[in-house]
Amino acid sequence: MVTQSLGSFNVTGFRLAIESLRVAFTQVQREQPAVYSALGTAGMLCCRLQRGSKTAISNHSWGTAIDFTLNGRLDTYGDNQVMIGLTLLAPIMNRHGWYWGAAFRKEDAMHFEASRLLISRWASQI
Amino acid sequence: MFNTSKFMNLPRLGLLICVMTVQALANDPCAFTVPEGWNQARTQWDGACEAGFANGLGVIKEQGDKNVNRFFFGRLKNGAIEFGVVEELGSYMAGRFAMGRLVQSDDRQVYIDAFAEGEKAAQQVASRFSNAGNKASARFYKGKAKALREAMD
Repeated sequence: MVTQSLGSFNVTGFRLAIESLRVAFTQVQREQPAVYSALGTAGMLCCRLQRGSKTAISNHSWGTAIDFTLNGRLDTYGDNQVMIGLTLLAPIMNRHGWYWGAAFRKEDAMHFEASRLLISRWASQI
Repeated sequence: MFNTSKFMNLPRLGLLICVMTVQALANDPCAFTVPEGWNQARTQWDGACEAGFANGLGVIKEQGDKNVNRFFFGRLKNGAIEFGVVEELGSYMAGRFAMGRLVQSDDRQVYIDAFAEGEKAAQQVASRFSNAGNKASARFYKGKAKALREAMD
Protein backbone atom coordinates (compact mmCIF):
# COMPACT_ATOMS: atom_id res chain seq x y z
CA MET A 1 0.00 0.00 0.00
CA VAL A 2 1.26 3.47 -0.84
CA THR A 3 0.07 7.05 -0.64
CA GLN A 4 0.60 9.02 -3.84
CA SER A 5 -0.65 12.14 -5.56
CA LEU A 6 -3.11 11.85 -8.43
CA GLY A 7 -2.97 15.45 -9.51
CA SER A 8 -5.12 17.56 -7.23
CA PHE A 9 -5.53 14.94 -4.49
CA ASN A 10 -3.69 12.13 -2.71
CA VAL A 11 -4.80 8.53 -2.48
CA THR A 12 -3.75 5.62 -0.32
CA GLY A 13 -4.21 2.23 -1.95
CA PHE A 14 -2.66 -0.74 -3.72
CA ARG A 15 0.42 0.51 -5.62
CA LEU A 16 -0.46 -1.07 -8.98
CA ALA A 17 -4.03 0.21 -8.75
CA ILE A 18 -2.78 3.75 -8.24
CA GLU A 19 -0.42 3.36 -11.21
CA SER A 20 -3.40 2.26 -13.33
CA LEU A 21 -5.44 5.25 -12.12
CA ARG A 22 -2.59 7.59 -13.00
CA VAL A 23 -2.59 6.33 -16.60
CA ALA A 24 -6.39 6.64 -16.80
CA PHE A 25 -6.26 10.15 -15.35
CA THR A 26 -3.85 11.28 -18.07
CA GLN A 27 -6.57 10.38 -20.53
CA VAL A 28 -9.32 12.01 -18.41
CA GLN A 29 -7.30 15.22 -18.32
CA ARG A 30 -6.94 15.18 -22.11
CA GLU A 31 -10.48 14.11 -23.03
CA GLN A 32 -12.57 15.57 -20.20
CA PRO A 33 -10.64 18.51 -18.70
CA ALA A 34 -13.68 19.94 -16.87
CA VAL A 35 -14.32 16.59 -15.17
CA TYR A 36 -10.63 16.25 -14.35
CA SER A 37 -10.51 19.64 -12.64
CA ALA A 38 -13.62 18.83 -10.55
CA LEU A 39 -12.42 15.37 -9.49
CA GLY A 40 -11.68 14.53 -5.89
CA THR A 41 -11.90 11.38 -3.83
CA ALA A 42 -13.52 9.92 -0.76
CA GLY A 43 -10.59 7.52 -0.63
CA MET A 44 -9.53 4.03 -1.71
CA LEU A 45 -8.40 2.13 1.35
CA CYS A 46 -10.54 1.18 4.32
CA CYS A 47 -10.74 -2.29 5.85
CA ARG A 48 -14.41 -3.10 6.37
CA LEU A 49 -17.28 -5.30 5.28
CA GLN A 50 -19.54 -4.48 2.36
CA ARG A 51 -22.54 -2.41 3.41
CA GLY A 52 -25.24 -4.58 4.92
CA SER A 53 -23.07 -7.73 4.93
CA LYS A 54 -21.62 -9.69 7.85
CA THR A 55 -19.26 -11.76 5.70
CA ALA A 56 -18.46 -10.06 2.34
CA ILE A 57 -15.34 -7.90 2.44
CA SER A 58 -15.37 -4.51 0.69
CA ASN A 59 -12.93 -4.12 -2.21
CA HIS A 60 -11.79 -0.94 -0.47
CA SER A 61 -10.14 -3.27 2.05
CA TRP A 62 -7.56 -4.22 -0.60
CA GLY A 63 -7.08 -0.67 -1.87
CA THR A 64 -8.35 -1.70 -5.32
CA ALA A 65 -11.51 0.46 -5.37
CA ILE A 66 -12.00 4.22 -5.30
CA ASP A 67 -14.91 6.57 -4.64
CA PHE A 68 -14.90 9.85 -6.55
CA THR A 69 -16.27 13.27 -5.67
CA LEU A 70 -17.06 16.03 -8.14
CA ASN A 71 -16.59 19.52 -6.72
CA GLY A 72 -16.48 17.95 -3.27
CA ARG A 73 -19.84 16.18 -3.72
CA LEU A 74 -20.57 12.47 -3.49
CA ASP A 75 -23.24 10.92 -5.68
CA THR A 76 -26.16 9.61 -3.59
CA TYR A 77 -26.11 5.82 -3.29
CA GLY A 78 -29.01 3.83 -4.67
CA ASP A 79 -31.21 6.61 -6.08
CA ASN A 80 -30.75 5.45 -9.71
CA GLN A 81 -29.50 8.89 -10.71
CA VAL A 82 -25.89 9.72 -11.45
CA MET A 83 -23.89 12.91 -11.73
CA ILE A 84 -23.23 13.74 -15.37
CA GLY A 85 -19.50 14.10 -14.74
CA LEU A 86 -19.38 10.46 -13.65
CA THR A 87 -21.03 9.38 -16.90
CA LEU A 88 -18.21 11.16 -18.76
CA LEU A 89 -15.57 9.57 -16.55
CA ALA A 90 -16.89 6.00 -16.72
CA PRO A 91 -16.02 5.11 -20.36
CA ILE A 92 -12.42 6.18 -19.81
CA MET A 93 -12.16 4.19 -16.59
CA ASN A 94 -13.71 1.17 -18.34
CA ARG A 95 -11.06 1.35 -21.06
CA HIS A 96 -8.45 1.05 -18.32
CA GLY A 97 -10.10 -1.97 -16.72
CA TRP A 98 -12.14 -0.31 -13.97
CA TYR A 99 -15.77 -1.30 -13.31
CA TRP A 100 -18.31 1.42 -12.54
CA GLY A 101 -20.62 0.92 -9.53
CA ALA A 102 -23.54 2.51 -11.40
CA ALA A 103 -24.07 -0.92 -12.99
CA PHE A 104 -24.25 -2.72 -9.63
CA ARG A 105 -27.52 -4.31 -8.51
CA LYS A 106 -28.03 -1.18 -6.41
CA GLU A 107 -26.60 1.91 -8.11
CA ASP A 108 -23.32 3.09 -6.54
CA ALA A 109 -22.13 5.67 -9.07
CA MET A 110 -19.34 7.22 -6.98
CA HIS A 111 -17.62 3.82 -6.86
CA PHE A 112 -15.09 2.36 -9.32
CA GLU A 113 -13.20 -0.88 -8.74
CA ALA A 114 -10.46 -2.80 -10.49
CA SER A 115 -11.78 -5.60 -12.74
CA ARG A 116 -10.91 -9.27 -12.29
CA LEU A 117 -8.72 -8.96 -15.40
CA LEU A 118 -6.67 -6.19 -13.80
CA ILE A 119 -6.40 -8.06 -10.52
CA SER A 120 -5.14 -11.22 -12.25
CA ARG A 121 -2.66 -9.16 -14.26
CA TRP A 122 -1.39 -7.53 -11.07
CA ALA A 123 -1.20 -10.94 -9.34
CA SER A 124 1.50 -11.98 -11.78
CA GLN A 125 3.49 -8.83 -10.98
CA ILE A 126 3.67 -9.16 -7.20
CA MET B 1 -7.76 67.14 7.23
CA PHE B 2 -8.08 63.36 7.71
CA ASN B 3 -9.92 62.59 10.97
CA THR B 4 -7.68 60.04 12.68
CA SER B 5 -9.95 59.61 15.70
CA LYS B 6 -12.78 58.18 13.57
CA PHE B 7 -10.35 55.93 11.73
CA MET B 8 -8.96 54.58 14.99
CA ASN B 9 -12.44 53.81 16.31
CA LEU B 10 -13.20 51.39 13.47
CA PRO B 11 -11.83 48.30 15.26
CA ARG B 12 -13.93 49.18 18.30
CA LEU B 13 -16.97 49.62 16.07
CA GLY B 14 -16.30 46.19 14.57
CA LEU B 15 -16.01 44.66 18.01
CA LEU B 16 -19.28 46.31 19.05
CA ILE B 17 -21.06 44.91 15.98
CA CYS B 18 -19.69 41.43 16.76
CA VAL B 19 -20.88 41.65 20.36
CA MET B 20 -24.32 42.88 19.26
CA THR B 21 -24.57 40.05 16.72
CA VAL B 22 -23.65 37.40 19.28
CA GLN B 23 -26.10 38.91 21.74
CA ALA B 24 -28.83 38.88 19.09
CA LEU B 25 -28.06 35.24 18.39
CA ALA B 26 -27.93 34.40 22.06
CA ASN B 27 -31.40 35.92 22.56
CA ASP B 28 -32.75 33.41 20.06
CA PRO B 29 -34.00 30.31 21.91
CA CYS B 30 -31.53 28.15 19.98
CA ALA B 31 -29.17 30.10 17.75
CA PHE B 32 -27.07 28.48 15.05
CA THR B 33 -25.16 29.35 11.90
CA VAL B 34 -25.80 27.52 8.63
CA PRO B 35 -23.57 26.07 5.91
CA GLU B 36 -22.21 28.62 3.45
CA GLY B 37 -24.78 29.69 0.84
CA TRP B 38 -27.86 28.66 2.83
CA ASN B 39 -30.73 31.05 3.53
CA GLN B 40 -30.59 31.34 7.33
CA ALA B 41 -34.10 32.84 7.49
CA ARG B 42 -35.58 29.63 6.05
CA THR B 43 -33.73 27.16 8.23
CA GLN B 44 -34.75 25.18 11.28
CA TRP B 45 -32.69 23.21 13.79
CA ASP B 46 -34.07 19.98 15.24
CA GLY B 47 -31.69 19.06 18.01
CA ALA B 48 -30.28 19.88 21.39
CA CYS B 49 -29.59 23.39 22.71
CA GLU B 50 -27.23 24.63 25.37
CA ALA B 51 -27.01 28.17 26.74
CA GLY B 52 -29.06 29.50 23.82
CA PHE B 53 -27.03 27.79 21.10
CA ALA B 54 -27.60 24.63 19.09
CA ASN B 55 -25.20 22.07 20.50
CA GLY B 56 -24.82 18.36 19.85
CA LEU B 57 -26.47 16.04 17.34
CA GLY B 58 -29.37 17.14 15.18
CA VAL B 59 -30.65 18.20 11.79
CA ILE B 60 -30.77 21.58 10.07
CA LYS B 61 -33.18 21.88 7.18
CA GLU B 62 -33.60 24.72 4.72
CA GLN B 63 -37.18 25.07 3.60
CA GLY B 64 -37.97 25.79 -0.04
CA ASP B 65 -41.32 26.98 -1.40
CA LYS B 66 -42.84 23.50 -1.25
CA ASN B 67 -40.19 21.07 -0.08
CA VAL B 68 -37.03 21.04 1.97
CA ASN B 69 -34.15 22.21 -0.23
CA ARG B 70 -31.34 20.67 1.76
CA PHE B 71 -30.41 19.08 5.04
CA PHE B 72 -27.46 18.98 7.38
CA PHE B 73 -27.25 15.84 9.52
CA GLY B 74 -24.63 15.87 12.23
CA ARG B 75 -23.08 17.72 15.12
CA LEU B 76 -23.07 21.41 15.99
CA LYS B 77 -20.83 22.97 18.60
CA ASN B 78 -21.86 26.28 20.21
CA GLY B 79 -24.18 26.99 17.27
CA ALA B 80 -21.64 26.24 14.52
CA ILE B 81 -21.80 23.18 12.26
CA GLU B 82 -18.86 20.95 13.02
CA PHE B 83 -19.09 17.41 11.61
CA GLY B 84 -21.59 15.53 9.47
CA VAL B 85 -23.28 15.46 6.08
CA VAL B 86 -25.04 18.00 3.87
CA GLU B 87 -27.61 16.45 1.54
CA GLU B 88 -28.80 18.43 -1.47
CA LEU B 89 -29.76 17.83 -5.11
CA GLY B 90 -29.05 14.11 -5.04
CA SER B 91 -25.57 14.54 -3.61
CA TYR B 92 -23.75 14.59 -0.31
CA MET B 93 -20.96 16.69 1.15
CA ALA B 94 -19.47 14.88 4.12
CA GLY B 95 -16.78 15.62 6.66
CA ARG B 96 -15.60 18.34 8.98
CA PHE B 97 -16.88 21.89 8.59
CA ALA B 98 -15.20 25.15 9.57
CA MET B 99 -16.85 28.57 9.29
CA GLY B 100 -19.75 26.90 7.48
CA ARG B 101 -17.52 25.40 4.78
CA LEU B 102 -16.57 21.79 4.18
CA VAL B 103 -12.93 21.06 4.96
CA GLN B 104 -11.84 18.93 1.99
CA SER B 105 -10.25 15.60 2.90
CA ASP B 106 -8.81 12.66 0.95
CA ASP B 107 -9.07 10.42 4.02
CA ARG B 108 -11.75 7.77 3.54
CA GLN B 109 -12.19 7.34 7.30
CA VAL B 110 -13.28 11.00 7.61
CA TYR B 111 -16.14 10.35 5.16
CA ILE B 112 -17.15 7.13 6.90
CA ASP B 113 -17.14 8.82 10.31
CA ALA B 114 -19.10 11.82 8.97
CA PHE B 115 -21.84 9.57 7.56
CA ALA B 116 -21.93 7.65 10.86
CA GLU B 117 -22.37 10.95 12.71
CA GLY B 118 -25.11 12.00 10.27
CA GLU B 119 -26.88 8.67 10.76
CA LYS B 120 -26.79 9.10 14.55
CA ALA B 121 -28.22 12.62 14.20
CA ALA B 122 -31.06 11.47 11.93
CA GLN B 123 -31.80 8.54 14.25
CA GLN B 124 -31.91 10.84 17.26
CA VAL B 125 -34.34 13.22 15.55
CA ALA B 126 -36.47 10.22 14.47
CA SER B 127 -36.64 9.08 18.11
CA ARG B 128 -37.63 12.56 19.23
CA PHE B 129 -40.48 12.67 16.70
CA SER B 130 -41.51 9.14 17.64
CA ASN B 131 -41.68 10.05 21.34
CA ALA B 132 -43.76 13.12 20.44
CA GLY B 133 -46.23 10.88 18.56
CA ASN B 134 -45.31 12.24 15.11
CA LYS B 135 -45.02 8.91 13.32
CA ALA B 136 -44.71 10.32 9.77
CA SER B 137 -41.70 12.50 10.64
CA ALA B 138 -40.16 9.67 12.68
CA ARG B 139 -40.46 7.38 9.65
CA PHE B 140 -38.98 10.04 7.37
CA TYR B 141 -35.89 10.51 9.53
CA LYS B 142 -35.47 6.76 10.04
CA GLY B 143 -35.32 6.54 6.23
CA LYS B 144 -32.69 9.28 6.17
CA ALA B 145 -30.68 7.44 8.83
CA LYS B 146 -30.76 4.26 6.72
CA ALA B 147 -29.65 6.15 3.59
CA LEU B 148 -26.76 7.72 5.49
CA ARG B 149 -25.75 4.35 6.98
CA GLU B 150 -25.63 2.78 3.49
CA ALA B 151 -23.97 5.69 1.71
CA MET B 152 -20.39 4.42 2.06
CA ASP B 153 -19.11 0.91 1.33
